Order: sequence, then C-alpha cells, then structure tokens
Amino acid sequence: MKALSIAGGAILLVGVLGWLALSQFQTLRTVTYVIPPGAKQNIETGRPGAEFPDEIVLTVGLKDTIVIENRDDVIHSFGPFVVAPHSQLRKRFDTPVVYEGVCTFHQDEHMRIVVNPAPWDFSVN
Amino acid sequence: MVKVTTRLIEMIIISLVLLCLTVGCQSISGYDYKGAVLDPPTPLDDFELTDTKGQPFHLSDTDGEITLVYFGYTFCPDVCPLTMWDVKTALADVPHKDQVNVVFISVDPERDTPEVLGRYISAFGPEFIGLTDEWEKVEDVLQPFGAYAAKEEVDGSSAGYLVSHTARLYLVNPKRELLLMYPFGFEPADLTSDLNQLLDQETS
Repeated sequence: MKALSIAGGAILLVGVLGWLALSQFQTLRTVTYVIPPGAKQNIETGRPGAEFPDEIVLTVGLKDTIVIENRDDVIHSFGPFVVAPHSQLRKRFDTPVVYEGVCTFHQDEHMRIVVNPAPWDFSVN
Repeated sequence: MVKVTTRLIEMIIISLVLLCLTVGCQSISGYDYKGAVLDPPTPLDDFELTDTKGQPFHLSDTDGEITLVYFGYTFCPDVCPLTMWDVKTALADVPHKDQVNVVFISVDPERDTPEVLGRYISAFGPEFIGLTDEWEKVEDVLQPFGAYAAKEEVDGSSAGYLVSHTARLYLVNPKRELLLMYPFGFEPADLTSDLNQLLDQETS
C-alpha cells in the first residue's frame, strides 16, 4: 500500500513537472509585441505608434514565434501580415526568411523581420 | 520485500508510459498552423463583385466552405502567377479540395474584364474563381482584409502601368471568418497541411 502511494505520488509529480516544462518551453520561444490603443492616431500626429524595434530577429527552434497583439481600434499591417482590431496574430517560423515591408504603427512605416536558421542547422550557409 | 520492489518498479514503468501517452496526445491535439493565425478569427461582412461570367458573386456563396482570397491582376509579371501556382500545387495534395474555393479579386478592373480574367484564372483550375468590378467596389473589399492596391505608371513598359498590391493569401473559414494568412513565397506544403487540418476538423 505504501509502495502504491509512493508510485502514485511519483506519477503526479512527473506529470506536473513535464507539463510545466512543455508549457514554459513554448513560452520561451515566443516574442510578444503590443500595439497600444490610439497607435494610429499617434502616428498621424507625429508621435510614436508603438514600442517596436525596426528590426525583429528570431531564430528557428529557439525564439521562433511572434505574437502581435493589436489593442487599437483599427486594423494594422506589419509587413506581410495584418492584425485586426482587438485581436492578435501568431506566427511560428520554421524556416529562415527575411521580410521587409510596410508597418502602420512605425513612424517611418517600415519594418523588417529576420529569421535566422537553427544553430544546429548546418545545411544553411 | 522483493515482491513489493517488483510491484513498485511495475508501477513506475506504467506511470512513465502513461506520461508519454499524455504528452504525445497534447502534441497531437495542439495542431500548430503553418500560416499566421488571427486570434480570434475576424468576422467578414458579405460583399458582391462580378465573376468571369458577368454574374454577381457574393462571399456568402462560399459559406460553409473554406475560401482562399487573393488580390492580384492578370498583368502582374511575377507575384500573382507564382502565388496562384503555389495554391494550385498545395491543392493537389488536398483530398477534399472540392470543399475549397480560391477567389482571385482583380485590383486592375480597367484591363481585367470578365473575359480577360476568365481566360487567366481558368489555367489554374476549376476551383479558382475570378472577380472583377468597378474600382470603388473593389476598394471597399480591400479594406477589411487590410489590403491595398495602387496604380504605378512605368515608363517604357509594354504593360503601360503596373499595380502595386499586397501579396498575402488569406484563408477564410467556413464561418466566413478571416483565420489565416500566408505571405508571398509561402511553402505550398504549409498551405496543404493547414487545409487538410481544417477539413478534417469539419468532417470530424
């Protein structure tokens, strides 16, 4: 009976630790940016639209998922993507790529996403 | 004592197997879309444009099915035909592609008459639908997709002018919500995977 209790406790502990590990791993791979309310109006009046770098650098397999949360009342473009008002866009990059394009919440209306290959990917020069 | 130890080892092995199954099930049930996901999906209003037979087409005509939407034009030298070809390639590996519509909306109604657009779009497959209409009506449709198009005069070009336009492919789900988008140059296999996943969800 005591052995069964120990086994049951071990099952529970391993399960919880495994679940935490998996969920944290996905969180660590994600980069989140927020477009604040009024970003469009700020841009139109010459103020910064959002706290966003001009270039976002990601790495496949390590930091490869981007989430853009749009809290503004208008749709925003971020290079090849758009984010509807009060929603979020999520994209995981599985391959190296570079995107440049129009950004409606950057003052200079330009953005760049660089996705580097995984450190263990020796097939890419 | 030996019997208890053996029993304990058996329980630990069983618990590890159950844990592996649990983790595996979590991985399988949490499908990761290859396209960029909008969360929550964005509801789209219905719109009406003219198809290549000169008949009115409504986006609501595709309710209950998956619809891929693309804004382009027939004089586009590269981006549009390449994207349409990638869509055709992706659909080749979708067993239930009869439940998928591809809507190509012209951003150059001046040159893309229904006849011209019909000849262009028919080269890609019967599931491809071409739409063209007055510019003001097309412009209204661009807005909810966050898309744009603008004429650019090009000196010395035999085409006369080009039209710069967003090159995204949009995926509208059967509830007429914008769910996924794919940038130009997407991998056809990614679109295939997402389409098959969505179609499997609809049939299960």
